[in-house]
Amino acid sequence: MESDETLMLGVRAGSREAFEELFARFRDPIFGFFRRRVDGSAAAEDLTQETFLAVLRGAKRYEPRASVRTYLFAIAFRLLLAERRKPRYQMDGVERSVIPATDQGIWIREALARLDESEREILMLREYEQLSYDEIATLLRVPVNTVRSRLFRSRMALRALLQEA
Amino acid sequence: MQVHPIEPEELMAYLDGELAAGRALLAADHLGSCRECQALVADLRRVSERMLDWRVEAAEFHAPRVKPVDAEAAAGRRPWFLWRPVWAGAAAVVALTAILGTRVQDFGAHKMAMAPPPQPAASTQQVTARLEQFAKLQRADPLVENGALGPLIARTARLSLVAKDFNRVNDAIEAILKHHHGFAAEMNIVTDDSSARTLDASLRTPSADLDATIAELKVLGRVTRESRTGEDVTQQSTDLDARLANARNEEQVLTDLMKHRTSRLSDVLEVERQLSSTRGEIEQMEAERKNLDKRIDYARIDLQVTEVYKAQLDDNRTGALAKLRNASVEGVRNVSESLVSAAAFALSDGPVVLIWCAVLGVPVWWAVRKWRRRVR
Repeated sequence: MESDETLMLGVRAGSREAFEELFARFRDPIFGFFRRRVDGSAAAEDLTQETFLAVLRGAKRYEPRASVRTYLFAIAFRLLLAERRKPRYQMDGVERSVIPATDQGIWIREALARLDESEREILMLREYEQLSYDEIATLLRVPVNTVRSRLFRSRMALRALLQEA
Repeated sequence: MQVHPIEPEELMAYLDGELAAGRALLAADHLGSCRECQALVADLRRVSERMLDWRVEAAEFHAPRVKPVDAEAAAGRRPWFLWRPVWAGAAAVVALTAILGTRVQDFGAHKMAMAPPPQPAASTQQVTARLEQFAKLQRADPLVENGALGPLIARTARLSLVAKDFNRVNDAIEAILKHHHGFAAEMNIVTDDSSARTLDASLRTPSADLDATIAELKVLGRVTRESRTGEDVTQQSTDLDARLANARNEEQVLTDLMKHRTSRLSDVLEVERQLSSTRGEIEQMEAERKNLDKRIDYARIDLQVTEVYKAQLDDNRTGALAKLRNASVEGVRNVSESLVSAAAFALSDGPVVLIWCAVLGVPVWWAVRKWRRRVR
């Protein structure tokens, strides 16, 4: 199986197959990223498509400085911030338009909404997007130690909230 | 109460596979025997498992099917020709194209043989897309504009302490820095027999840990001075990123011109010269970026610790004896030096003195003798 970097270089070279393989690999993680943060599945799908469009548009200028994963999530995060500036966006950063399938899911979503914004974002990037401390630090432009301390605080806070439930 | 060699945060990092190897071994070893830490690890695992209860549906859409450069899709809501930065970028590209792009000639058969097939000149659509990308780069990146989750601050603190137990200050500072993953950029200790010892240090600690580090340093002694400053470098960072993005785009334009245009050697050399200059600017700005990141990531603490000075009772007696001894030695040395100097004078100037005594002395002796005879 080809590495992500090989696929991305293939996209840079104009390979449609490489792009489709990259899309297949990262569609669900990117869609999940948006699905938990924006209002509605359609908006999440639009933003996911926009993310991969941005990958296509910027392919010729791509330089393998960070991992492809970090690169894709950086684009996605930038689009998310732009989306959040729109007036219709929910203020707490947690999507609520669709009721999760389980009560436990509802509790988690509500508990996350009560966390501090910066801590919640780091926690979600770690738990759902499975980004490393370094990748989160690069994405959010904060030191790794800050990621670690905020992640710890958010997990402790979430533990306390879940124990109250 | 059990002593934990590992901080709770480190246990979490160990669980996430993010702890350094040495500390990870320590964590694994400690977890084998500490129930309190085992409970914490179990809680952290439960939190992670509970978070997975929030599931989202799988995506069912397909990959977008657009060409790599799609100016229509990339234009966004606002027409590109209304963006002022686009005019600046367009003027730069047009000027460069006018200088180099109108002189299209073959550049050596061997170059053509080795180079990839020549690409067609950039179409209007491609140039438009490139200008639009250039304009997007010139707009402030929202991620950087807000420092992601806050402004970018370069923090500095100054702390002066008076410590009773000066001997353990150095080790204590090292331990505090190690705990917070900081380091000492500079450390000097001045020792003077007749006054207190002083330690001057320039420390670096992660900005998020500045308060905690200073709180721990204050425990080392009595605080005589404390001050803190924070310089907002968000705009500086944004400007630097924008300049860097512009330079990279300029580099790309010049690189594309090198690939897509064939012209006389002098034109190619001119483009190469500009490309080299642009790359030099990029390297300089990347170095500035790294330095700025270091200033943001690590706060600076200028620390001065002064020892509480206690005069010693027997200082004067020891000093006086040494002085007498030194004076005696000096006296003997002076006697020997004077004797040596006299001998050296006699050897170096004695013959000259004797000669002049002989030259002048003989007439004087003869005159004195004649005078005595007259007097008798």
